[in-house]
Amino acid sequence: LVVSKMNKDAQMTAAINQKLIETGERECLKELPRAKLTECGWKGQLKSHCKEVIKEKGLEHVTVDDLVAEITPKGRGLVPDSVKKELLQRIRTFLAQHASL
Amino acid sequence: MEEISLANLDTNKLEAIAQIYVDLIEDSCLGFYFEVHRAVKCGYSYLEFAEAGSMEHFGIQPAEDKGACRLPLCSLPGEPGNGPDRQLQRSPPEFQ
Repeated sequence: LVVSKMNKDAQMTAAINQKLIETGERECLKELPRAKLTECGWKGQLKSHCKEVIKEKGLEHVTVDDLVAEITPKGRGLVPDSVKKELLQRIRTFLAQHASL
Repeated sequence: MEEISLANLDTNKLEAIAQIYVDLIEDSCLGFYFEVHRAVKCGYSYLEFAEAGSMEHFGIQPAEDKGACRLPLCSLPGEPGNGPDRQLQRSPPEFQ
């Protein structure tokens, strides 16, 4: 039952993603957090965390995987509620406009 | 913008929306990591990411005196003897 539900969720996500890509809305949605997160200082906050990781691993040895592993939890947590809300709202609006999904 | 409630959506759609949201945020994060990583590896981030003491890591001595620049084509003001070579300032004959 759990596996069946997971498959349905994955199918739904894939269908919505496909529609987003076909209509070009996915590109617009990608741009929204990029712009908003820079404006609100999220990048600046993450830079401080990045400095700590780079200090710990060393400039020569730090990899993208290190940054992903160490910074992603903080990055997700630091997203302002206003950005979350706006992004979710845009996705929800898109779904409402494409009722066939 | 008029708010649209998430309350009347089935769980499949809610899960899908949540997954898409996570993908978009992680996409932004990943873009940022690549920027940072590239800046660090290309060496133009040392002012931001390195302690002052480790600038030697890049073979860079902290700038103390901006005086005369020894580069032949440099246009920075300096002592007359160290200025740019006048001959080099002229364009080649074919472009005159």
